[in-house]
Amino acid sequence: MAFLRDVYTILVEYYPQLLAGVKNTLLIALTGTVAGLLIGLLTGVVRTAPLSGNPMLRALHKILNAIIAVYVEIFRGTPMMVQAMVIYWGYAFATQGNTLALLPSGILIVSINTGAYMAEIVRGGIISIDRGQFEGAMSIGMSHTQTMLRVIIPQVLRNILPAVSNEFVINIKDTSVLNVIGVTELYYFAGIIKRQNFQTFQTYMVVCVLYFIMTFTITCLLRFVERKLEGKDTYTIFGSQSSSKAQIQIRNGEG
Amino acid sequence: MKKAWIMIVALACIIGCVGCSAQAERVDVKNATNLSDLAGAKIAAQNGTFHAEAAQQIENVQASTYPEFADLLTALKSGAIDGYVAEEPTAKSVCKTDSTLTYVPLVNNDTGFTATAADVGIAVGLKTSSALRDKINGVLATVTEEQKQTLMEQSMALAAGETVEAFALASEVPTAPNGTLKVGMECAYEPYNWTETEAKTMGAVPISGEGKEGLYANGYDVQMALYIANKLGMKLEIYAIEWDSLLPALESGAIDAIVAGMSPTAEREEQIDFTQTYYESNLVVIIKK
Repeated sequence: MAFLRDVYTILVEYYPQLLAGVKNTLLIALTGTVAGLLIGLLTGVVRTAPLSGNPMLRALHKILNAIIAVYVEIFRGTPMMVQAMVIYWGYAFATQGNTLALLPSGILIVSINTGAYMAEIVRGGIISIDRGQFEGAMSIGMSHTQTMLRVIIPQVLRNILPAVSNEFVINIKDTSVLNVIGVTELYYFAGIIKRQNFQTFQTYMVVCVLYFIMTFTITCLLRFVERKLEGKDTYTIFGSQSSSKAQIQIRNGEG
Repeated sequence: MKKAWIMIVALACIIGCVGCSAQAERVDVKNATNLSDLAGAKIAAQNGTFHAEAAQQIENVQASTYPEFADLLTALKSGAIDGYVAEEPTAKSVCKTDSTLTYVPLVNNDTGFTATAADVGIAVGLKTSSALRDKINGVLATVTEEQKQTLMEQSMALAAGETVEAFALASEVPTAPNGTLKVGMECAYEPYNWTETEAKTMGAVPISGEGKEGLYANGYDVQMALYIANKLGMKLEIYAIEWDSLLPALESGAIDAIVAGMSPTAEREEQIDFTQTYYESNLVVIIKK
């Protein structure tokens, strides 16, 4: 009972801080994931593009590939907490005491970290598209850019959606490490509340529930989007020259 | 199926064994009055502080460290540790708000150990050969020992939710400041510096920095920093920075001074400069009554 009363007091007394924390956490996670996906798409397309016949372009492409490979390996292979410290204080040392604004630097760190994972997710997504799709597009005279933009990427996006939503959920949780540089996300405020009321367990229990509400809502939302993208379960395939039947009825995904 | 069951039972046995072996003998420290009564106890201290070294003065101590000061109290209350090392003002402040706690002085009569001023005295940290050093030393020289003691008493009172009439250190905020003094502190170390989610106590100063709107700092360090800034004719800005980031923040120039209850130890002196001390206290071990 005393526990519930403590929790209630925390909610009533510190709801402005908790709300501000939730807002910043969602903001950083959402922008970070979207920016990371863009980085991933860009690097994915570059890395899967065929090498040009022009020796200059060919060399440039190879250098670009190498840079991307180094970027992916470094940011995937080091903890985000360490990256935050290195980037934030590295910038301060490099500029003789100017510090990056906290929220943008939080978004930056999450973006480049997510980008490194997304690069691999997108690359996998492009590779998984059937060879015939590329050949088909080429055969009707599409350039590589057209093939990518109009045929491959739309399919890639749908295929990698589960992996992207996974990254989003991970980001909501992982923004908590940004408290080391003082970004005011939810975990940072949990620390501030804990140091005032000295109720460590109760405070983190509240924050735990808040994190779960955020991640669970996002998971449900993205699953809904996934189902929408799959299209209707029930549809009709109309007969053609190759099929003797006039119409084929598909109900609930089965013929 | 059978194999799976055997595996589960074996795993349970292993976990059980580990759990039992971890249950080391606990020392009863309830009625401890000096350091020798704490022999063999589980004593913790904050990471990266002199307190962690001082804990070794206790005979057969099972020492451990925690990253944050607030965690030590939680650990003590939960029974995970028997006591933790703190400075006397902190101990007084904590014991004032929690009547189940008490403390014993950390003085080892056998080895003659008492912490020196460099160990527990606290000073303002500055960038090496900073011009501020002489200026701040000049200001600190005007503060009497009595004023320091009274200000600490007042900070403890504020931390315990009591009210204070007027601070022992009075100064006027300059109307036309000749610069800004950026001061870094943890804002998590009662009664030296703490955070408030609204200006609850007298003299609380808003914390600077993006996203820190509505957060205030107060405590002995805050009032001392305010006094120094006012006397130098500068505008005070307080930044809440993690303990481990205070030194990089100062060295990179993100802040001008550390006023965070930091002791001028030899290791730190290699990287930054310190002013004269602005408070000296004794080390204690906080335990349950």
